[in-house]
Amino acid sequence: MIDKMNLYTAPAGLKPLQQPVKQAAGAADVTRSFGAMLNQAITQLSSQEHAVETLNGQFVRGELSDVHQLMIQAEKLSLGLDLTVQVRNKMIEAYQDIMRMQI
Amino acid sequence: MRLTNGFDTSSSALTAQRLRMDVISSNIANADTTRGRYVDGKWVPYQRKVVTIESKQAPFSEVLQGAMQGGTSAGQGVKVTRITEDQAPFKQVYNPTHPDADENGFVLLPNVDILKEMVDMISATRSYEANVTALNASKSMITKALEIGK
Repeated sequence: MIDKMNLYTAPAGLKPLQQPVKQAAGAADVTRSFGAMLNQAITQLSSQEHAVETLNGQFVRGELSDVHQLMIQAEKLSLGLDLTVQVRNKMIEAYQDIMRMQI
Repeated sequence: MRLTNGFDTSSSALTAQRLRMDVISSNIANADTTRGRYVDGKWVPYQRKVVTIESKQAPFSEVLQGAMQGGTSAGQGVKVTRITEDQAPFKQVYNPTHPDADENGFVLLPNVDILKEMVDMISATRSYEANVTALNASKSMITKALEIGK
């Protein structure tokens, strides 16, 4: 289940952002696609967090025989969050650079 | 997630080593068990158990997806395929007072060699540690990549 989630699809969501330059799409379209991309990333993170919660519950109840599974899943979640945050930071940075541009 | 594929490989190895550790514990615990199984109205001592570890073949869907995306998946996990019983002969000890001694006073003891089990245990522990180290290394690589441009 976890393996199917692919943060690599996030850059695919970036494409609509580049296309409007050629097609001269409205600002609303850009906002929508940017929002959709962020939304997708957050949804993937949330399902990953759900997996960690399930394992955590099992561990607390003493049903988990392999503690490393919990740790690895938690580590995956933490890395996924880091990646999402970094991508977001980069995008916000680019946005602010454009906003600061002198006209 | 492809980003953390290496984790799954290490994870399967950790699971395998833990199972190996459980089997070794069972061997040590039963080192003096004279009544392991009841066969044909007679007690047979505990037989030493051995773990067979095999490399895990990726499922067809993963191989296909990997081939279609133009990359071959390097990671290959391991799995425990079976736990077999060591066919080595039992130890024979002269102890006529033992309730399981035969008419000549000999008792059959399990074919478990404590020294061998201790060495196997160290090997399993070290292997577990090595896999944790590999996992941490792959994690720190990803973390470093996220630091690019900071």
